[in-house]
Amino acid sequence: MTPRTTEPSRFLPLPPLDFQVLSVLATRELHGYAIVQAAAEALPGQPRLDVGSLYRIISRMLDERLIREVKPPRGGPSDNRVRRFYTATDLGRAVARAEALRLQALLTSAVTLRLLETEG
Amino acid sequence: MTSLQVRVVAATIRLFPRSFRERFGSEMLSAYLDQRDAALAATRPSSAASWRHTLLTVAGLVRANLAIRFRERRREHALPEYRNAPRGHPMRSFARDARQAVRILRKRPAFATVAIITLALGIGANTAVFSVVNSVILAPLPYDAPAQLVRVYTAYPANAKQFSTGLDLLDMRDQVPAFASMGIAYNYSEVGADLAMPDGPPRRVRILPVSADYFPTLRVTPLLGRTFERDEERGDAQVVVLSHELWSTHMARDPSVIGRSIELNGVRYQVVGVMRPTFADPLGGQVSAWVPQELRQGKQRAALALAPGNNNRQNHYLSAIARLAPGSSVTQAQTQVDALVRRLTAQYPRLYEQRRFRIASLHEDIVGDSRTATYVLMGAAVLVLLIACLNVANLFLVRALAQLKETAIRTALGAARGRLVAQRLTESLVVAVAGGLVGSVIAYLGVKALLAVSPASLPRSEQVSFDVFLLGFAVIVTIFTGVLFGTGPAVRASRVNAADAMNDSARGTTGGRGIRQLRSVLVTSQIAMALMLLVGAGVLIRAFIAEQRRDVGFKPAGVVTFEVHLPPLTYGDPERRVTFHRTYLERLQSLPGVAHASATSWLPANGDFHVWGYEYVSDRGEPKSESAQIRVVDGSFLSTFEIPLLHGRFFDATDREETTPVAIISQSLARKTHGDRTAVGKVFRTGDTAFTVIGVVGDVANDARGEDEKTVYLSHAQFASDRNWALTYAVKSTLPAEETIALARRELARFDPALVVYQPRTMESVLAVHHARDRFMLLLMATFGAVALTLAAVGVYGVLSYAVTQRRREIGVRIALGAQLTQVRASVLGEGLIVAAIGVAFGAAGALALARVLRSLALGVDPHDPLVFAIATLVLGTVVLIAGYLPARRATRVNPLEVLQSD
Repeated sequence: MTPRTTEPSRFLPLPPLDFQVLSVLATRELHGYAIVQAAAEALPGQPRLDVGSLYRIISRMLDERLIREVKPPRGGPSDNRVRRFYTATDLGRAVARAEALRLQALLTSAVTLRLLETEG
Repeated sequence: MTSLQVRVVAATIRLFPRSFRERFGSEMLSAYLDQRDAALAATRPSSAASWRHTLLTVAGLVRANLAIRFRERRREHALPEYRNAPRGHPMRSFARDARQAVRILRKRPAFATVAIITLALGIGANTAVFSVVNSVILAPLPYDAPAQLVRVYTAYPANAKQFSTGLDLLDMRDQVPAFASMGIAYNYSEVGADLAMPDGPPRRVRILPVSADYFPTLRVTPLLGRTFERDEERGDAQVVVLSHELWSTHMARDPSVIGRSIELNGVRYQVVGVMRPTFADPLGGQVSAWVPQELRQGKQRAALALAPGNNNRQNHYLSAIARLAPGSSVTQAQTQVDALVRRLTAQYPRLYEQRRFRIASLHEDIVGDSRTATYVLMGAAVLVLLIACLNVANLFLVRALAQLKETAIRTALGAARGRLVAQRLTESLVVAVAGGLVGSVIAYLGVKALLAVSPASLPRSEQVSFDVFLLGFAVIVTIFTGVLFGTGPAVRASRVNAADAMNDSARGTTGGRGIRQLRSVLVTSQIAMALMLLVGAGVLIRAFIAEQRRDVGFKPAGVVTFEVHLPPLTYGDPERRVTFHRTYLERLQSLPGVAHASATSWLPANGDFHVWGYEYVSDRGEPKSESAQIRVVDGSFLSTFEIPLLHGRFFDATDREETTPVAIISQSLARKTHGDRTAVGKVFRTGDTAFTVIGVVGDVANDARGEDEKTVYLSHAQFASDRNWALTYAVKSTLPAEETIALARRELARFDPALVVYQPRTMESVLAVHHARDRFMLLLMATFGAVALTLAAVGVYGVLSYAVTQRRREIGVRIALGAQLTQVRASVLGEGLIVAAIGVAFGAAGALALARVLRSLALGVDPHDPLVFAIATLVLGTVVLIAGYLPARRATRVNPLEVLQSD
């Protein structure tokens, strides 16, 4: 599969779970469960990643070249469980950033701010 | 256990498309294991929690699997190069199979519709019922480490669940090492208070007086502020913890509420805490506020206290929940309280001779009563699911047979056997998924309907929710059935020699005797199960009718009831309370339409209340003791409820506080003590007072289901100084209930604007509340019966109609040879009736076996009731006959010429 484009905006808006995965992989190299954990810590209250969704997303993002596999770091746990590590590609980081900017613009828009005011 | 869970996850992973599985399979399993290790380290390793986690993972995997397959299928359409994938690429054939399956099913809408409806009914009914069962009975209580929570009872030979005395509970709190902590609450009778509102009349709220350790024992913390301290365990502490609901409605969720005051019964209470919205009180139910319970020794004369505090070793009025210390068991706790009882018996032999303490798991205690009923419902739901599965199996068998020829031809033309089987499998899956979708809608509506019918009578109903896991379970069971019965014959058919199949079908036999017999067995079992359900429903209906007709000993029609509570601050003087009730009753009596007006401390047929000792001297001169329900009444109580006065007289104006205390007793009590007539004039003691019996009245039922109870009626005018009796008014009027209430409210406001007409209800609705749970059971069983009946009819219809199709030629020949149409019909119908008769025989046997369970539910009704069996058999027989008649009639429409030419 070749990516059809390298323009980040083509991927927007990102589904919430995709955003979770991509944003935690933007700065770190993590394996499967560590991604779930990092997402839960960094974005509490968001829909929780489950293993099925995680690998569905990883599979797609690998195909779309948003993330890539990296060598496992030394000193990791040495049991016989298979743990592959992933991190975001430049394109992936650009997409995550574009999504974050999109969300920021959404949240700071006058309409949203008014919504938030009336709630309190 | 653990390895089973891992195997379940591994099996689910194996269902992914091969390319995906090879790339990520082992990694997914590792991630699952990592996550489980972490999750279980954080909480405590209980098998329920780890199963929950496993099932969540499985659900996620299945979802992801479907999403991936869906995406790939879409891609297959979008990208032409994908079509060049090697022949038999799993993705490609799956997509093709699914499309073809939908096409085939749409060509035969009857088959698809019947299969989907059958599945949907089975899945829907099951998920709905199990959701309720799961939340009410199986799910743990919503408190931390709920298994450690126990209920503490005082037990007597006559009453194993008596309330406890204050001093006993304090002893247990201090001297039983197996209790980490103990919470004490006053729920002997409902404590209410008038909450002053800034504008308008006061609002009546429900209060639960509790000890300081009540909340810590449940391990719940307040949202704001604090709960109570030990030194506040006094009736006059005047501090209050609000429920989230009261805080929201009364305080507009003002976070600065702590330290401010609210006025209850005219007394200011300082708000010290607000509970969380999630907290559900295990003893009090819908509590609006908690105040400290008086726990000091002796009778505290704090007139303004919300609940009485009289702590000695005789006054049984408190309830307790304890938390077992880590490592302690219920048995250990029981041993230790037994030891405490022995110490107390040594000290006070007379008091503790018969007294014991009993420890019971709190969860058991709360759901105990509903257990049998719920298990019967679960059983019924399982039967319905089984019937549905049998029906689906049957339908698929029919299809497999119908496709036998096609399968044989395709095999002969070189189709791979795996592909043919996969094709059938896909068809089963498409039907099952559709059934599951419709079923979940039914389940969702079902849960809502169940809650709408029975919120009040079901314990913990506030925690019931639609359960996705259970839905998953039901869907998996039905899919499994569909696959088993849909693919099995397909596998067999694919092995069939093409020439044989062609010949076989050309000869028009019914394609495999074995399969036909199997189908008859399936229908027979369906009919048997349907009969069991019908008999069960019938027995419950009979019991319910009997219960409705039961003579409760009084006439509820036209009686309107409401409570009036007199705030102690303004009505502290008993004289004033007597005057109030007397005057208000007179005013009620003079209202238009009102025939009689009265007041009582507890409505009849409303359960136990104030069960006091009844000490008397028998006719032989021996001192004896009974227990009786004490009711304090005022006004024309007997006339209001039309309870007959059998002997002696009723209270009148001459019975005043300063005259001899008098009482009226029920017939059963009179018979038990002295005899009907001779009881009048006898003296008995209750509490600290001697009463003279002046009259004997008819018995009334103690609750809407139960037996008559020994009852003592006392006159409020004489007994007002004992306590501030919260009287319930009962007014018999010819006007509609709402008008009577409006008039009563108007009169009350004229009298004292600070008073509230609380809980206005008709006496009939008071009784209906007690019938609600039975009605709920009945409704569910009737629904199950109807579903079972429908499914059984579908099954019989299916079998016979297929038999007719297969026998078309035989029938055609017979008609051509001059057979009578009635003979033809009879031969078809006969086949159905034999199947039905065998089913009924097995069903009756099954129903008899169930009778023991039903006996415990259907009070006073013989579960072997021949009438119920006869009616159930008749109904089932009729339905089967109709279902069988339709294909039989079609058989006679066979055109002999057409049939014979078609070969």
